[in-house]
Amino acid sequence: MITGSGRGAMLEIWGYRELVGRLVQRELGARYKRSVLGWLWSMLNPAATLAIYALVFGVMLKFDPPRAGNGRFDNFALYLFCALVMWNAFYGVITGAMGALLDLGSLMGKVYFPPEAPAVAALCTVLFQAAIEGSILMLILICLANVSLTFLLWPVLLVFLAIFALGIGLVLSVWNVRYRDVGYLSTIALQFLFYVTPIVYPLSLIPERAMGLPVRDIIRLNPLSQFTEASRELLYGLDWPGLLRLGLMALISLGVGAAGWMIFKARTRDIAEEL
Amino acid sequence: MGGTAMDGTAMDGKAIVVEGVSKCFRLTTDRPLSLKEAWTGLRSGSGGRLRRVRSEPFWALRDVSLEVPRGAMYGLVGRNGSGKSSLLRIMAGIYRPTEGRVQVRGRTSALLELGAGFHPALSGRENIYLNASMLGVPKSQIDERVEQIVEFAGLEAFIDSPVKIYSSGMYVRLGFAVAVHVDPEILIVDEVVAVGDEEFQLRCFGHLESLRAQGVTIVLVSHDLGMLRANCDQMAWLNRGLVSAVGEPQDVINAYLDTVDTEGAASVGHRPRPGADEAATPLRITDLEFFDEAGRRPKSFASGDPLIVRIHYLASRPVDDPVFSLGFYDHNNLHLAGPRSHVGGFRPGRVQGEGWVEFRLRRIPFRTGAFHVNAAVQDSEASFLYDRRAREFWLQISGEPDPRANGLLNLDGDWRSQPQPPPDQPAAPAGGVR
Repeated sequence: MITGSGRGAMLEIWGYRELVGRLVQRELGARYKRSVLGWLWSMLNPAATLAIYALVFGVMLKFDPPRAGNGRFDNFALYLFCALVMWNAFYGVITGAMGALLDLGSLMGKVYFPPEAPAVAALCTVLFQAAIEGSILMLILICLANVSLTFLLWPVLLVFLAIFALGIGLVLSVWNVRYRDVGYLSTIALQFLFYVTPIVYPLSLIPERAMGLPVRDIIRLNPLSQFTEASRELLYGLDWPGLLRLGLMALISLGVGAAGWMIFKARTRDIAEEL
Repeated sequence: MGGTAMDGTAMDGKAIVVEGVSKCFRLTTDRPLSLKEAWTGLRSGSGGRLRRVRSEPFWALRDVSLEVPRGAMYGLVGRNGSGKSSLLRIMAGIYRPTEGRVQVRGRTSALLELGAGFHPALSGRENIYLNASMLGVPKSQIDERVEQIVEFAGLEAFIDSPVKIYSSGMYVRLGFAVAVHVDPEILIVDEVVAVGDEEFQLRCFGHLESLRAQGVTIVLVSHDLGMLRANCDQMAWLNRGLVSAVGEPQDVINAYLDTVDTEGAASVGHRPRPGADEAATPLRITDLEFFDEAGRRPKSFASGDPLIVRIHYLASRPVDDPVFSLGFYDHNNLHLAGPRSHVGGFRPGRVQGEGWVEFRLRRIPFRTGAFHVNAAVQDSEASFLYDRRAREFWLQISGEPDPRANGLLNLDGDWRSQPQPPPDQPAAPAGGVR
């Protein structure tokens, strides 16, 4: 039986791009249906989150942002937003992949389609949202004259992050079919991950050592930290993250993505019988 | 398609080649649904694996081989649970065979059950697009067809409502309409079409015919033996996961009916009924036989033939004037007729030991298909049920019904018209056309 080397599997999902497009369209179309503000919510939601975090961590706790790349201002909310966009995409892909498989799984006993199609559609939906958030962020920064060629690398970073998240999301989604606990556990794990990633605080705020542990290095080793930090450097600091770090991120992203894809493909060969 | 391989040489003139396919399901009695259960299952050592605590293999298909020629209409018969649906799913690429392999050449559209791949929260129209995209049909093509699909399904008023509010008939109609309008090269249809009303069924079969005329390969599961014989080029009979017969429709149907007969005979008579207390049921029905006028027991009858239904009984103590009744049902369990012996004033007198009563039907009104016949016996007041045998005896009406008539029954009637005026006296006073 041919069930797919990675290459064959990639080709198969390409053959079903019409389905992926349809699923994305449905997701976007169904979102904010029956709401007065409609699509505005897709901007109001992240704006509200941003405002809350900026209030709590920037105003109340007085976390100090570094100076922006053009050296003319510092702003905690914008500094936070650069990392938050990355986090939102990461979170969206993982929860989206898990939800999509359960949502569409019941159809898999009736009609054949590649089981990764729902997750890929979730990924595209999230990328669309992230692109909107990213554009708004860049627009604000441009208005503040904080702009540089580094902006051009940001979409590439976003894609790497999405592949990284997709690898994790695919594995979690297939486990979640068998054990619903995985869904509940990952909600908790994601909450934890949010606070061990420098998003609402700058990495410099973390002490080098605490309780005998090199805390800052531990947090830096979290791959997600690399993405949020790199996003800040590119957009806020107008700095190049360096080829070595970029290469490392690409490697991690492609490695996790490919591993997740392969595990998913192997575990979903008989998924139609399980759902 | 996923899980299928292409092989140029072996596929000449074939749309589907099934080679030695077996399918094993693991029937899990105790599948843990949470990590905690899995962990405790692991620790208690019952089965020992994280995945499942205990599972029993169930072979739905065993070493099934068959070839569906390109452009053929291929029928599958078999009792419920014989593996037909599993085989269709394997052909459609939804299940993977445990052993053997399946080669499918051509775009496959499958209508496997109610609501073929519909998402309940989406509207009918959105589902048409979703379903079509799952079948790999480009949007532009569906744009052209969508009105046609809606019209075929007769759902103009509901197409923008979510399909969760649809009736089962609407589900099937929409599913069928989509499946046949996406230009499939191979169409796989499980027995779902039977759900629609008569008019829709006719339209479905009409459409299947026209698809076949266009060279579409059709694989069809049905219990309607008359329809299968009339339409199929080849058939296969699946029995408990094995191919019991394959070939010409008539041969396969005969072989199938033979076993249904012998199995029916074997099941009749001396089998103790669960919970049936000899003392509480002094009168039991032991068998039901169908005879023709000459006293033979043919495998199937033709519509319009005379039919004699003989009810065999065993009375363990004397019973006075019991009431016998029969029930005729079609394959959808629609109750068609229920003759009862006391309606016409028939009194069998005192019955004791073994014996039989007969119901004689001058002309069989049923058109075609398989009908099951229930038998029951009650006390003389028809208030206490002694015994009842349901869904055990099947009456096969075969032969090709006149396609110009429709419905389930042929009514014994004549057509007449109002007397016409002679042709040389025009009916209209203004003067006719000369």
